[in-house]
Amino acid sequence: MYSLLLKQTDAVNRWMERYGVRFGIYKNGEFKEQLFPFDAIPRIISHADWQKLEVGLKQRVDALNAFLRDVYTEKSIVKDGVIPADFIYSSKGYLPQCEGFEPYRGIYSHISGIDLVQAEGGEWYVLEDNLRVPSGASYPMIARDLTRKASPETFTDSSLIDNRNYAQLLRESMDYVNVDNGLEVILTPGRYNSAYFEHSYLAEKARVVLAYPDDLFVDNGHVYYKGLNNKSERVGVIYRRISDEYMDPMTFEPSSLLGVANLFEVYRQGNVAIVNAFGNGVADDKGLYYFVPKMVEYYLNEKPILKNAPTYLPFYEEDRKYVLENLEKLVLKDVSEAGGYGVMFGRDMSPEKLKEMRHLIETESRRWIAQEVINFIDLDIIDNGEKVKRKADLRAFVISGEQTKVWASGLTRFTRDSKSFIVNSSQGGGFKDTWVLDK
Amino acid sequence: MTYNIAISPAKASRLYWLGRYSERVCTVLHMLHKDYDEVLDNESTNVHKSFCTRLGIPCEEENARQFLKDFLYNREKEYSVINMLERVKDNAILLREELKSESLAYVEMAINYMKKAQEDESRLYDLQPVTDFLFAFFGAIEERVYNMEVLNLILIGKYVEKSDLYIRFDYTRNRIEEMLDRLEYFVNVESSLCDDRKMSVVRSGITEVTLSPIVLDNLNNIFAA
Repeated sequence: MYSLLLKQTDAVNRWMERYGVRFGIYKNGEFKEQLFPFDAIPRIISHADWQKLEVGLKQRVDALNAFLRDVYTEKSIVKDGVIPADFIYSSKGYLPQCEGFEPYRGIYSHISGIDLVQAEGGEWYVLEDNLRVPSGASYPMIARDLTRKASPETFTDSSLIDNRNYAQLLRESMDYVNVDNGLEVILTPGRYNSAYFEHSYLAEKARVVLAYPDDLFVDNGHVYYKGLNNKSERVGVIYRRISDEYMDPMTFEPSSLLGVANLFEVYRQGNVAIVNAFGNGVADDKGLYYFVPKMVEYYLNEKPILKNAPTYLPFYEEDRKYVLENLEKLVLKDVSEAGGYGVMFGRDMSPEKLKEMRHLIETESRRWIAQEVINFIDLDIIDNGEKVKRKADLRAFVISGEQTKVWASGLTRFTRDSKSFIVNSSQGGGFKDTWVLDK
Repeated sequence: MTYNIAISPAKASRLYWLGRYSERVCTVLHMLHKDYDEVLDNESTNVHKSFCTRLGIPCEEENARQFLKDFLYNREKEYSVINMLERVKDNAILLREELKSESLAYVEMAINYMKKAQEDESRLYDLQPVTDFLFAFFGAIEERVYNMEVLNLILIGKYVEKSDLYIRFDYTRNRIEEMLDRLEYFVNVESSLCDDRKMSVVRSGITEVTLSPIVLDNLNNIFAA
């Protein structure tokens, strides 16, 4: 199906270089841009598998959006005892400033990146929900574009869904929440952000303005983009690629130079939409992940279609006991870390490290979750001309606007290290296109 | 999808400098070709000294060959061609959504080629693809940039730079006038961003027998976003 494409691997890589498909990385305090290693063998998802995934992903994101709305307003899920209050209010992602109001049109997570793996039995498991600023969609978008250039015959013979509509989905979502038809911008912290390529590429493809923090200002309850000749345009929606804490120095981190002063107040008044909303971190906290299937049942009154990886919360005494007794065979995650950091496999720990971690689990139980190691399917990659198996995950993108839609593709990341499970680009991982068959 | 056409002063400045640096690389490579033709016949020529004087850069190299190597590839010299190409890229990479990826690709190819040439210590005569890529870039933006103001700002930068270099390298008055005609057209189109009084000073100054430094000073300050 993709054999013709493989013969054009060098051509694809030349196209990638020509288009500057890179990501940034800081090493020893120095910023470097490097090409994101691309493997031409696609991940192929059957039509039947995709149908199930699509329904499950919509269900999960709808529940997460309902949770965010509830947690910042009624808090019925806490009142009904489904989630302990402590898990919410001690989360680093919970923002008390978001209490008591809903964002424009009631959507919190417009762009959700859901990380999944497929187990050897074929079952998909969700590993993580990313509801703040999930990145990565631009890579399979441009990969499809460039692989079609390098090997057009591959695509005339394949019946797969075209994934080059991501920018349109993004734009539809931005249009839907755009307050009073204002200017639509993607807000980037700048060139030295690891995902800058994506920010600029999405701005190009969605045909919106790429704004830098100095381009925006607040005046009289509205956000404006500084134009030429002292003419400014009112902004209706900001797809921000900056974390909550740096977005407004008057509300959050006072030393932030990346934010827009008084932006939060404009947002609170409903005069600008922020994609994704402030405060979403509470829902993609690794500790709250455990409760997502319960959210599906609670808010939608449905059985969860997608499974979580079997997860234990040391916060609960019974789980803590199990984790302490079985740490050697579990994977332990620090809930405050991201990007593949803070992930530790019990089997790799020395006796001293196991002892130290057991102590931390007992004394800081809220900080950790533990999961069974899922024996997930390895994917073929080409390494030095040889076909080898490597661990890989899938980041699926769910876009919420007037409707919730799942992008028929996703970012497949793989580890290049045969002994590693960590697929993040910041830790040397590569990526593949994700093909979804249309029949 | 409708197209958002807002331009901030910072973006306008990037567009202008993108035009200037791109043109500077093309034109100085062209000037070097002309001047260094002499080196083929005369190893001991001091042609590089007059080149530096005209360009207004220091001349620390003893001979023309060493100067050429430094001028093309030395990253310690802010005016080297490889550094100027980096400035092209610094501006272009921040403008992808306006230029479009297909146009930006020519800048990527120019800088990638130049880096490879630096590693290989390629000769001046092997750098023609750098000029070709930048010409292709100018052609690509004409095709792909829909916001005319974006294109105009790049072209103002391009023609300011080209006029500046034509004056510095003693081009004939006719050639300089032709270039100023092009510049003036865009200065008039973007009159709110340009100082037409400075344009007038340049035009009248160019007719004088001895060129005053005020001409270059005004030329280089015509644009003010």
